[in-house]
Amino acid sequence: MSQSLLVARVALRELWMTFRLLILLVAFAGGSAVVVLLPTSPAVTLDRVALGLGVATVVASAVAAWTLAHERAAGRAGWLITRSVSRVTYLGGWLLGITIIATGGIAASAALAWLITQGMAIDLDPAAYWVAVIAVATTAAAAITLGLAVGALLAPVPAAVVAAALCALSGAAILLASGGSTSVPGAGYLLLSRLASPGQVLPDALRAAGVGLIQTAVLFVIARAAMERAEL
Amino acid sequence: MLWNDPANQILRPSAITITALSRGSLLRRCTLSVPVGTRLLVVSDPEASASTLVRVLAGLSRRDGGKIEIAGMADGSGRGWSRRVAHLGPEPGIPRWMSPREAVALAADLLDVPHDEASTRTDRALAWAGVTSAAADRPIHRGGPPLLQRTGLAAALIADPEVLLLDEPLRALDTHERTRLLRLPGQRHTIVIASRYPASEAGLVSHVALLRAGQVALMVPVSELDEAGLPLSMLGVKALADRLVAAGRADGPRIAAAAQ
Repeated sequence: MSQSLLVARVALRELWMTFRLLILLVAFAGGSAVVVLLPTSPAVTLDRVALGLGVATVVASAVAAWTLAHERAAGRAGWLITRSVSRVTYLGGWLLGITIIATGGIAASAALAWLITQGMAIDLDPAAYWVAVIAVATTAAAAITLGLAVGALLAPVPAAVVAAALCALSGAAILLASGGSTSVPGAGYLLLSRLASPGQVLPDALRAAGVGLIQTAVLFVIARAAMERAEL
Repeated sequence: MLWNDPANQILRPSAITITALSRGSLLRRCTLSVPVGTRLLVVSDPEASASTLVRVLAGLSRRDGGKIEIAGMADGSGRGWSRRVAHLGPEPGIPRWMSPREAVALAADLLDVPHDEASTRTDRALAWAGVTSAAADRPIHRGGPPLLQRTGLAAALIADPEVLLLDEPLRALDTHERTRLLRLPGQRHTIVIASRYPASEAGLVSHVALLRAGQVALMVPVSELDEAGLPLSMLGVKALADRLVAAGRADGPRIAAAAQ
C-alpha cells in the first residue's frame, strides 16, 4: 500500500476515534435531514439542500484546519514524517481521508434530497443534478484544502476560526459579486438551488466541477508550501 | 554493508556532516562531523539548541541555511537518507488508540520493510523494547507514557536504522531500564543524543559535544572528561571547554582531532 493510502487510513481512524468523522457526516447529511423534517416546495427544498451543504463545507474546512494543527501540536505529524513520509504525502493523505468522509456525507445528503424531490411535482434532470452534486463535492475538497493550509500554519483553535471565516467570507463575497452568474468558483451550490427552475444547468455544472478541481489543485500547492515551512 | 568494511574501521567515514547549519538564534552556522559508530551526546547553552539540532536533522524543524549530509547523501527524502535515519523524541507522536503492534507494523509498512520480514521484525523490536505480548495488543493509552515510549523505540528500530537521533528519549522509564534499552548492540549504529541531563547518559555515549551560542564549542571523547577529573555534567563539559580555550587550543583542530 502506498504511503498516501497508509496516511489516509490513519487519518480516517483518527477521525473516527475522535468523533470528528461523525461531525463531518452529520454536518453534510444534516441539511437533507432538515429538508425531510420540514417539507416545502421543490425550489425551497433545493435551496435548503444547497444552503445546508454550504454550511457543512465551512464546517469541513474548520475541522480540517483544527485537525492538521492538532496533529502537528501533538507530534503525530512529526512521528509520521520521521517514518520517511514526505510532508506532501502526509498532506495528501489527510486531504484524501477528510475528502472521502465529506464525499460520503455529500452523497448521502444528495441521495436523500433526490428521494424527497421524487415525491414532488418536479422534473429534475438526473445528470444535471448529480453533476451539480459533484461540483459541490469538488468545492468542498477545495475548502478542506484551504483548511489544511491554515492548519499547517496556526494553532488548532485559531486555525479552525480562520479557516471557517475565510471559507464563509469567500463564499459570501463570490455570491454577492457574481450577481447570479454561475461562472464563478463554488457555483455548484447555486446550480443545485436552481435545478427546479427551467433552463440548461448541465454545462454550467460541468464547468463548476472543473473549476472546483482547479481550486483544489491551486490550494493544494499553497497548502504544500505552508506545510513545507511548518514546525512539526 | 559498505560501512562494515574493515577499511572503514580505520578510515571512519562521516555518518553525519553538518556545514554552517542555521536555525534562528539557536543554531548559528553550526558545523559538525560525526564519524560512523560514534555515540555522541550533545549538550548546549542555551539548552534548546541541542534539541533543535536533532529536530533539524530529523526533518521536524526547518533550517534557515546550511547543509546536512547523512551517509554521504544530501537528499533527505525517501530516495535519500530518510529511511536510514530514525528519530525518537521525548513524546513519540504515536496515536494512543493504536496498539504497540499496530504502531510498529505501520512503521514497517511506511519504511517498506519486506512483508515476509515485517511480522518477525515487529515481534523482535517489541521484545527488545520490553513490550510484553499482553501489552502489545492493547491500546497504548492503557499503558501510559512508559508503554508509549517503549513503542516509540520499537518503531524507531524496526528498519534497523544506521543513524539514530534521540531527543531526551525514554524519560518515563527508570534509569536502569533506560540505559539497557539505549545500549544498542553493534558497532555501526551512529547515535546522537540531545540531553539536558548529561549525567544520565553516562555509559551510553562515547563522545560529548557542547553547543554554545549555536556553534560547536567542543567535541571530545568522554574519556577526556575523566582525564581532566571532570564529571559528565553540564558544568563539567563547560569547564572542559573553558579550559581548552584558556589553554589556547583552537576549537576547530580540537574538534577535528576528536573525530579521528
